[in-house]
Formats: sequence, structure tokens, C-alpha cells
Amino acid sequence: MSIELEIFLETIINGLTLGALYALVTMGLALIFGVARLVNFAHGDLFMIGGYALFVLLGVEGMELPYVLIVPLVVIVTMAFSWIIERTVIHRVINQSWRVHAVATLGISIVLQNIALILFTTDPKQTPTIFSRQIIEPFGVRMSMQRVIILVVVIVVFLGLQYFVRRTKLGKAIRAVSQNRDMCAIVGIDVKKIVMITFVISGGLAGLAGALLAPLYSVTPMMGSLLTLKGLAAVVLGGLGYINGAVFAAFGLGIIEALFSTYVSFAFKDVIVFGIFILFLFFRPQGIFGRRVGL
Amino acid sequence: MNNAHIDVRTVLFWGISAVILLILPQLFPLGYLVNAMITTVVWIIFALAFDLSAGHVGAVSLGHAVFFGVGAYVAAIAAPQLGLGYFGSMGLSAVTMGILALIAGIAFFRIAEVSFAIGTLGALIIAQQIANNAYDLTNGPMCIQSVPNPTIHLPGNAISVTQPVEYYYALLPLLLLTLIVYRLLTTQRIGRAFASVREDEVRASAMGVHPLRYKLLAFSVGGALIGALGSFQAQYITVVCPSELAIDYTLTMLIIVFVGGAGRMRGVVIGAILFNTLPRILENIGGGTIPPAYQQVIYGLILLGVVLYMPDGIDGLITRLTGGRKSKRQVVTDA
Repeated sequence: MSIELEIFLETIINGLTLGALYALVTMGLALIFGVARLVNFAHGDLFMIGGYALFVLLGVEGMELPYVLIVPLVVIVTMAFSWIIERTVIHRVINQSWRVHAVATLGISIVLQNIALILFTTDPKQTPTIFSRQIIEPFGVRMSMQRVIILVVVIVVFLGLQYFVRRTKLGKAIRAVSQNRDMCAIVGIDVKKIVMITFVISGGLAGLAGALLAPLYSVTPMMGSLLTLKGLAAVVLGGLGYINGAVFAAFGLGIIEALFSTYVSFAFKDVIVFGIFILFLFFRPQGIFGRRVGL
Repeated sequence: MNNAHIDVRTVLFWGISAVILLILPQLFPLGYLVNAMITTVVWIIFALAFDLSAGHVGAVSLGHAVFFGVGAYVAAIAAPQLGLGYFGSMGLSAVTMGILALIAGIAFFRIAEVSFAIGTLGALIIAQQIANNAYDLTNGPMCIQSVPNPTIHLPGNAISVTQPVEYYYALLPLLLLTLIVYRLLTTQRIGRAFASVREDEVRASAMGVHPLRYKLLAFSVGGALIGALGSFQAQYITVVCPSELAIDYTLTMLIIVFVGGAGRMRGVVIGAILFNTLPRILENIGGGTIPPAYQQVIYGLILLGVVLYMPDGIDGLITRLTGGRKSKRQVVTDA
């Protein structure tokens, strides 16, 4: 295989992994936005907490937990954090305007990032797993096993989420709330509880993303900031709360970013991502698929 | 407030404030104290200009640091080449940033609310990455060193500004301008139009108030003021780095404006003063410096506390405690 083709394929795989990461982050953001019209600027920090939870759990002396067992634990930890955040802050501001949402979640973000900074300093923490060290070469393209796992997990989670919101009773309630809150309250759906559950699920998804991605990169207190913004960009591009649209946009952004990094300039990759985002909004403010109601 | 009969207390308040501002550096002529005063005034101007759009027309931009940072770069790159003095440089940054804000506003106000906040933050990331990587223009993380000390051209002679005290007095005209502009735009007819746009754009346009026009007015005037401030910063620090485009500026502004009381001049000014003096007071009590991370945690918690329990900010608290008349303006935090 020619070297050009190899580079191209590796770039595409990088783009898909990146897209998968953005998709996982954006799914949670779109879910909670769809249900509660909440823009969560602290979402990336739950991703960061997932990364540190992985780091701590990997480092536990004496009991070498397998990675496949640690990942669900990380998800539970971030869900617990989300629950605390929801109980202390989110549920009190949920009925107010987006401005209050933005300020409150940015406040949470400041607190979480700086507590992480105090506990773990700015030194990047490495969290290698057996899969991130394992290199496979299908069709002559080198990639780490971790990337394959990420892609598979994201597809499984996406399909699982589809099944959950369409087929299960709780999922149907979540969709109903996203479509018409007042009507839900009238027919006896506990809207506040649904919002809480959605927020916790959304946080769990961010934690899962952290546990999957940290082995490829490293964990730092600020690792979530830019990711929140890219995830939110995908949410807006996808049509504000429409999960499938957001996931589509996330993969699009990931692949564009990877292609641009390889062939044009690595240093300016975020310029192109947000440049496209802003240009797109200028010509199509309603997002790729237009605005919809509900999930 | 009706201009026909001016409140004596108001005149007294502003008069005393002006005297304090003018003699303060003479009472405490220590370099570091004067520098602290300069920082405080910088934040008052910054926060008031930000509040014009965030607090009054309800457009919470998370990218306002663009006007500050790019304004500073304009002052560091273009102004010396054009041979502009202190005020000329400020004017250049103000005009360019005002125009930038106008263009950005036309683009970003097409998108509603949440998307606006996200889009403006995206713009900040773009500016940051360009400043970090366009070495030929900005020197990247090596910063633009040695921005020339400003000179103020007066008829007859030119004064070179070098000492903190001189910088302090050189900054006061911009503070005065900001206060006047803020007052003019937020009271009377324009102020009521701003409030109606903030509360409900559809209703405002039904009443004949063109929402986009007022949003652009607030956004570009605020952008121009912050641009001028960026020019001051460049000439004061004499080094311009990509960190002038940091998101920290956005967060600090949110803290100052929302803790002080969004949409209220008194609240914003108090917020800025507290933000700058509180850490110093705490340090004196605690007998040591507080690491920045701990400071940030405290700020974050204060911000959350205010959002949850004091939606009108400190200004609202003062109004309630003094039993003052209820503000006519509704709080920004209402839906």
C-alpha cells in the first residue's frame, strides 16, 4: 500500500475516533438540552472527573482491577458527581433563563477544575491500559486497540440510547418531557425527577468518554473545557437537542479536524473547527437538519 | 431619573467619588497600591462595557475578551507603526474593535440565545489559537515585547507616561467616558428599549423597538470601550501575550457582573472593586498569599451562591437593606 493511502486511512481513523469522542460528549449535552433546555458548560468537567477517576482506580495498590471492570466504576463515580451537582445547583435554576443556566454551570466548572488542580496539580497524568499499548494492523493500517474499543463502545451506546428513549417506559417519559413539559406534568409524569435522571445519565456518558479517552491522551484539570465547547457546537449544528443530528455533526467535526490537522495545519485545527461552526450558523442558523421539537 | 430636578444626594455621591478617585494615589503613593488601583479601574471599565450587552440587552457574550486582546494587539502592532500617541492608540483600538463588534454582532445575533453564547466563545478560541500560532504577526507565546511607553501629546509639549501614578491618571478619562456612555445608554428612552429587548424580543418589536438595532448598539459600543481598554493594557504592561485572550477574562467578567448585580451600574462597580480588594484583604488577615486555585474555588462558590440565593446580586441586597425604592429595572435573571 502506498504511503499516501496509509496516511489518509490513518487520518480517517483518527477522525473517526475524535468524532466518536465528540459524539459521546455531545449525546449527553443534547440529551439534557433536549429535556430541560439546559446548556451545561460543566459537562466537559464531568469528562475530566471520569479521567481522574480512571487514574485513581488504576493506581489502587494491591488490587489490579481489569480495565473492563474499572470503566463501569468510573461511570458510576461520575453519575454520583452529576447527582450531587443536580441536587445542589441544577434543580434550583432549571426553571430560569438560559443566562442563569450558563452562569451557574460555568460556576460549577470553575469550582470543579480548580479542585482538580488542587488535588492533582497541572502535571498530566498518564493512564495507560492494556488496550492503549496494544497495536493492531488490520489492512496494514497501524492503530491502537483502544481506538477500536472507543468506536465500538460509541456505536453500542448510541444504539442503546436509541432503544432506551424509544422503547423503555423511562425513555418514553424522557422524550415526552422534552416535547411538552406542561402536558407531562398534567398527565402525572414527575418532570423534576425526569430532569434529574436525564442529568445523571448525561453525566455518566461524559464519564464514560473520559474513561475511554484518557488512555490515549493524558488527564489534566482543564482537559474538558475545549471539549465542552466542541460538544456544544455539535449540539447547535445538530439542531439543538436533536440527538441524531448532534452525533452526525460530532463525527463531521472530528473528521474535518483530523483531515485539516494532517494536510493543512495542526496548530490551527480549532480555528477551522470553530470557523466552520460559525460560518455554518451564519448561513443556516437552525442547524444542519433544522430545528425540531423534542428528542 | 428625571434630569429636570437633579437629586442633591446623587451630585454629592458622584462629587465625592470623583475627589476620592483623584486624590487616592496621592494618599497612598506606593507603587504596588497604585498598580492595584489601576487594575481595579481596568476591571470597572471592562465589566461595565460587558454589562451593556450582558445585563441590558440580555446578550451574554462569552467572547468579550476578543475585543480586549485584539485591541491590545492592535495597539502593540499597528499603533506604533502609525506613530500614534496614547490617546491615538486608544482611539484606533476603539474604532477597530467597535467595527469588529458590529460585524460580529450582525453575524452572531442571527443565532438565538444559547447558540450566541457558544458561538462567541468559539470566536474567542479562534482568536486565541491565531495569536498563539501566527508567529510572524504576534510572536506567538513569546509575546510582543517592549510596546513603547505612551506619550500624550498636548498643545505645546508631549508627556511621556512611565510611572504607575501617571498611568493611573491617564486611565481616568476612559473611566469617565465609560461611565457617561453607560449612563446615557441605560437610562431614558434607549435604556427602556434595551430592557424591553432583554425581556422579550418579540414583544419589543411589536412595540416598535427594533431588537437587532439595540443589540448591535450595546454590543459595538461595549466592544469599542473594551478595545480602548486593551490598548491601555498594552501600553501599561508593555508586553502583549496570547493570554490577553484567555477565557479567564470572560469568567472574571461574569463573576463581577453577576455577583455585583447585572444591569446595575452601582452593582457592577462594587463587584469590580470587591473582586480586586477582597483577595488582598483576605491575604492580610490570613497572613499569606492564597494560591490562585483556592481563590478560584472561592470565586466559583460565591458565584454559585449569588446565582442561587441572591439573583439581584450585591446591588439587590443593598437596595433591600437600605429599604431603597425598588429598582424599576427587572432583574436580568428573569426568563
